[in-house]
Amino acid sequence: MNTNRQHPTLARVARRSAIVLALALVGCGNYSNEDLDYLSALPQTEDLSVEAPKMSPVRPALEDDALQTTSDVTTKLNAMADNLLALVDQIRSGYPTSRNGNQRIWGPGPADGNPGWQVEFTMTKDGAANPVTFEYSLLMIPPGMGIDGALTVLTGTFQATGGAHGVGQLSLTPAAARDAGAVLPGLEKLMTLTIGYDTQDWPRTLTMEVVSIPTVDPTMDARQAMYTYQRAQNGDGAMSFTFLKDAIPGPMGVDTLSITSHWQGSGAGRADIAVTAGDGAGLISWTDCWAPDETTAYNSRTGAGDATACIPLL
Amino acid sequence: MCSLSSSGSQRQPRGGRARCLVAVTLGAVALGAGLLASGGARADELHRFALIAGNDRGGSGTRPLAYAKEDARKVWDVLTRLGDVRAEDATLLLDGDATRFVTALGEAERRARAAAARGEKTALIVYYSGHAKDGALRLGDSNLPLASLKARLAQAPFDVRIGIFDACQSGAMTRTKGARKAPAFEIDAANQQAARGMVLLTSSASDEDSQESDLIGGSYFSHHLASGLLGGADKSGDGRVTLSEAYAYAYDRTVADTADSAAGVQHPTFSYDLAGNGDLVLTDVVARREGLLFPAPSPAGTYFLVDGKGFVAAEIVKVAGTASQIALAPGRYRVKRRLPDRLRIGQVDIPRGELVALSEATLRDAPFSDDPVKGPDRDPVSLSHWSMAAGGGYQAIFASPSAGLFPATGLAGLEFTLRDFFRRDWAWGFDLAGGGTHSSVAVVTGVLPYRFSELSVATSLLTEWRRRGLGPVVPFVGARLALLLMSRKFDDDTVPEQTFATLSPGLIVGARVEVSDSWSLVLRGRLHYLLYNLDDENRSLGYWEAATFVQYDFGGRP
Repeated sequence: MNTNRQHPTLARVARRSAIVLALALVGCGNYSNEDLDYLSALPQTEDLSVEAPKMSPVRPALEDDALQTTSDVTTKLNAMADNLLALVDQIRSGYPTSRNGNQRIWGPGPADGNPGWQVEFTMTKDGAANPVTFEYSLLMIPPGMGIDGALTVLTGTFQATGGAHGVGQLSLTPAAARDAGAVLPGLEKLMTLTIGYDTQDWPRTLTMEVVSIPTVDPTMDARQAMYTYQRAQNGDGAMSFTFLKDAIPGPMGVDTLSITSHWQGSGAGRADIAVTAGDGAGLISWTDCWAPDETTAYNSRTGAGDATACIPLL
Repeated sequence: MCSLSSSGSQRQPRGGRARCLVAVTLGAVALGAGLLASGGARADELHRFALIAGNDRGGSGTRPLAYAKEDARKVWDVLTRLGDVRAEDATLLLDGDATRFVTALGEAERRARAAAARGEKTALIVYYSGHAKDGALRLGDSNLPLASLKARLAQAPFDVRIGIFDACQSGAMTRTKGARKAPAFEIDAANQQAARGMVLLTSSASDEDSQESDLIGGSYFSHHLASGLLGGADKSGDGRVTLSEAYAYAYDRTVADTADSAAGVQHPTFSYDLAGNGDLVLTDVVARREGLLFPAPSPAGTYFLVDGKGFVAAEIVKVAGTASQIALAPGRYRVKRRLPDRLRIGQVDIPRGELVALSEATLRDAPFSDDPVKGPDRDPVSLSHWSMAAGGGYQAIFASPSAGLFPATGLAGLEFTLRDFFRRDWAWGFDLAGGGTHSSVAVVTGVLPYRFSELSVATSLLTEWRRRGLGPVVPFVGARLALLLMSRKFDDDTVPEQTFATLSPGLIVGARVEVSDSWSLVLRGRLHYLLYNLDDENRSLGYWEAATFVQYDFGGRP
């Protein structure tokens, strides 16, 4: 009987040895060209970054107002982009944990800073499409919930059209996860952030639409803002955005300004400003031009400077 | 019983350690080569097997020997080179215990039965050099009773069994039946039937010690037996050394050398029980046409051929007016002939596949202080030895099933090889190589440049062929198992590094060109199989490598 018992043992040992040998021969690691396609389809810094007008490290005392506003907005946009890229970079720092045909999945795994939560990132590739298209989504799974209870935090698409990178869109929707108790630093006030980018050709374009939660002081933060940015190959840039500022004295207080800025790679630029809400809404508009030294070259509202110093519209 | 006092480490001009050890050759086991009926039968008519064992240790109550393993190696070399024993039929057991000895014997018996089933005649030569005590071989801490071994040999399924035991009191092996302490045994040349039976030779009588000599670097008996098999015992001058010739030669020389030793004279014995044509050719010293020739006009006397390590490879008594041939292995030897008032010494190189005639004119007079036989002052012998090689090569896959995964790359490496460890001309190698290149891979958004790096750690088993006519070129072939560690580090820092590790089996073929005694140039090619898993899918490819190495040999056979 002992002999009989030994046979399964030997067989088991032999089977395990064969498995170990087979695994050793097959190898281990994360070698893959396919995975690189998926990683390359994620938005990159160059897709989402806004290049501010050329400015010196030390700001002049008489810095032009429009230049300062444009610069402040680009800083804000880049900060939002950085938050998003930080999230994407976490995904990009590793390779998929599972593969299923044209689908790659990272996770589910623990969500940083959110004990009990899990995150799962899924990318799907449509290799038959022309251009090749990817779709992706980031889910946050509350504690104790399964995948059916997952909350979508990020969705996006990307078309590999060539050029610097391609054409993509993504939408950050943290509200549901936040309402369920997730802690999302930097996204406390954000309802949705919708981004579109196109780096297929020049000029590169980037649009951002921000919808925030209703604020206690609507004079300080716009609930909804739209940013449109273009960058030419020679360093010229343009950006359209809305901005809250008590620019026109009057009873309405803070005014909503619609600003379209253009600037050259040399540093000179202009902003065409219109009041869309507040004092003088629909009635007041002006042009503010700045010189390469960042001082005001011309202001049509005050009459200061020389109008010929303004750069043309790009 | 062997006396420990006589076998101590004291070195004496003649007779050093007494062997409470046995240097026994069981003719039925190991000496399967060279068993040729002297009546004219061809050596290859007898399928020969050999079990050669040497053990310096004899367990409690014994002192370690110095040369038992060397004796075994020497006999193994002679039998496989000259004795028509194929290397695969010869087992060399060094420092093995009784269990391994019996296991090896059983394996030889199994193969002999298979040979017999094919209609072949078989012979077995068993040689043992080591301790013996209280009626048993002492293989390390294990014992193998002589009586049971003898009985086992008597029943072994070989037509001819020859046992040669070089150990103290090994005569106990032969005394029970027909053992004689005589200088020679007679052969019934009239009987032309195929030989069947058993012959036992022992290095000493049952009440005698067998002795080692530091001067010659071996036991007296095995030393003279090996010298005889190399051609020194070819009394008939037909170029073939028979069993009786070898025994007679070893007997005479052993008795002469030990006559005035402190441990006492040592008398080899034999037990002869062969039916049919009893004399057997053990070695053919002329077939290879390789070695040293003493032309008939050469002066008579005892010639010592000393190898590169200072060991006496052969000791030959040259008879006046008669040519002698010694089938020395290729190499460089110093030659010594002792005269009453001086030495005659010289040097001779024996190339592969060449028979070199010794010219007396190449010898010179030298004082006794220049004796090339260094004795214990010689370098320690090590037939198994290491070599180291350094070089570089190129690696590329045969096809590109996954573009950019395994780019062709240069490799630089180090190799360490243990030679003649498992068996002569086998090499067990370990190599480490690394290399890298810059390449790129296409992705949907463009091209990703990366740095490819590879590190391989591998072991290989090679066998080399030394062939006449090839000169210094030694071809080799073998198998290799490599652990490959590869990585792709992308120029774009946001793309994580990719790594891959796998085992890859392969074949090696190449040649080593011996530039000098220690230096060689190695040209080598490899073919490897690589099974890998990519995107959860198993794939495979083949790749090749070509490399050139410079190799340094740390020692070994001269």
